[in-house]
Amino acid sequence: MDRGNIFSGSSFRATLYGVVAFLAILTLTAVLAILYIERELKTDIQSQLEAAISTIQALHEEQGTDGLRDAMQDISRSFAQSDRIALLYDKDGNRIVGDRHVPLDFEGWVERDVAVASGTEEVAGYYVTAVPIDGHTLVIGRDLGYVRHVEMVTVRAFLVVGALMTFIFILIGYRMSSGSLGKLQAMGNTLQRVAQGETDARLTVAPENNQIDRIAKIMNVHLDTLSELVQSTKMSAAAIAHDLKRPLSRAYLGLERVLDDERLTDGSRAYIEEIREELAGLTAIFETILRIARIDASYGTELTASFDLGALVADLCETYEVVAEESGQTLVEEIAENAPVMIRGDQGMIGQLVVNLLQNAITHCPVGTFITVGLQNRAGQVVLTVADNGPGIPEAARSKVFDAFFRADTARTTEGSGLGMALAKSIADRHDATIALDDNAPGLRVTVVFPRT
Amino acid sequence: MKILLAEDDLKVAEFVVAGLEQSGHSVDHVTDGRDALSYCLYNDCDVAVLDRMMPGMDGLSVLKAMRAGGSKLPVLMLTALGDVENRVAGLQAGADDYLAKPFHFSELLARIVSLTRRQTETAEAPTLRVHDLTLDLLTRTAERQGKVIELQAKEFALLEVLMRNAGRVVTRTMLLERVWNFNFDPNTTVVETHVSRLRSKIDKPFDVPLIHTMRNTGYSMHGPR
Repeated sequence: MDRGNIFSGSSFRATLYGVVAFLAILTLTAVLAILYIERELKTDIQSQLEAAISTIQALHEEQGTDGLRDAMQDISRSFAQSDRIALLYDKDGNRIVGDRHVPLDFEGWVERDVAVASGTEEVAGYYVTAVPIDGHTLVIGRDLGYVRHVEMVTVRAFLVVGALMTFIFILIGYRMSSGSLGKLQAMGNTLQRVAQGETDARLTVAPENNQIDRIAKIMNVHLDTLSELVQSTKMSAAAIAHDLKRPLSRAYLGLERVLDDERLTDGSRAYIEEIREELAGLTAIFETILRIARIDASYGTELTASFDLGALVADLCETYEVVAEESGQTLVEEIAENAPVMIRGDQGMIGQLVVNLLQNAITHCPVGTFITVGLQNRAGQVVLTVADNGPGIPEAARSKVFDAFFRADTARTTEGSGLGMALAKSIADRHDATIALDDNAPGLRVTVVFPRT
Repeated sequence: MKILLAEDDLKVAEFVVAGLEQSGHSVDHVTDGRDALSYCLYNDCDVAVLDRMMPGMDGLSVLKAMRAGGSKLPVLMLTALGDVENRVAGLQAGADDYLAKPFHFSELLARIVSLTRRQTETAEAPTLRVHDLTLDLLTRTAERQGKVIELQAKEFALLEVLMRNAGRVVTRTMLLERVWNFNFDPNTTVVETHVSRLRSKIDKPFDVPLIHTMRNTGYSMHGPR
């Protein structure tokens, strides 16, 4: 199965959209969560430190400025081992307690970069506040490191969840897409088989009954109708054959009885013979139609016999060289192979195919035309070509040549029923061979490619 | 010659019976397959013409039953239009020849005559002779009035069929079947062209023509009558 087809499948694309939407929501959730966590943790820090400030203020009220200074010394010492700081500045802005420096240019709770220890350059973000007490300024704060750590853990958790979910989504999408692609491919194959004449082939309907299965059910109903129609067409072809046999037989024999009558004038005899010829032409047309119907109806049954196409083509060329010469044309045989060119099929049918191609070239080409018959065995693939340098067929009309009753000259002045190429196509289809028309520049080239055996 | 005609279309049968009787043959006509089989078992005749589709018992079954019973009666099977496969089935079941409906009476007559002729032919003669023309089947050469005539493969095959049926009519369709192995009408002048080539070799250089065209039917080979 082609990966590109799976990734371009609609269920895979739907999954991709889902993944994008999920990641967007996840990112938003992560941002909100981090903002909330930060706010909560900061509030927590604030209430803890504000409790310490209240204690210091109480001590100051009891013991005055000295008490304040002593209390600050104690607190600062105990903070030195933790991630907190406590500093005291006098009214001139000189630090009297504490070993680090925070510029006094703020109010309320702020984040400030403060050295992590006295005498180092390394700084960290601290959450600090400054409180004026008795002309002094008390600065107290806490390192935000653990807040950042909590945030980091949260982000990591969201990233893991996001990656895991994306992977699972894509896996599900791939499975669904390859499942539906497999079904679509199976449908395509089945329809191809039906188109090739296997009218009893049906689409498989899986028990999960999804959209594709429901479409398959509907298509199966249509295929049933189609095969019934094909069946009735085949039956009516056979019925026509039987029904025509009777009146045509009677007409033929009746005319011959009349021709035997000695009282007939030469003029009447000529008329009756003309009618007889027309009747023979009519019979030939019906015969070809029925032949096509029978060959198409037999499609699918295995052809077991095989024969030497090289010998057949050589034999037919020998015959038609004479016919071409008689109408002022030249038939050239170019059979590259010396060894027998064996193909599987019905020799009588293939003989008729080759004859129809040769006859078509001879009938539709003017005096002086060269007709070349080629046969090649390209690594087991047998290729038969009949090419001429006659008037050719315009490209637009080429595909219609295989339709029954089509003739390139709309005036219908040339001989023939327009069924010869349709019959050739039926015979080629019956043998799983392809038949194609190309420009021989100038003229027409017909190529028949037989499948490898 | 006595001919059995098994044909359920009375109108067709009427024409065929009249035509055959006019050509000097005696005809018995039945309309049912079972009657055809019992006729062949209890009566003597020279050739049977069986329609493939008949009430009671179809032509192919009649033929199979006859052959199973050891009958060697020459049988001409009438088949449906465009049905090559059934013709093949007919030949495999032991029919000596087949003819698709609708047919020309002259075609039927030529084939009936050819069938009885085949039956009476005994040992394979190594040479065929018509008037002063001889055809050596072993060396594959033709000779007329002491002159050796060069023939192409198809011309030889054509001459052989004509000479084997010397004095009888060989139709265009019979030639297509026997010389070219075509079970279809190619609509081109295959037969006419080859006969004309053959004539230019075996007739033109000599004063007595041997190949005669039978109007609307085919060809016949014979010396001066």
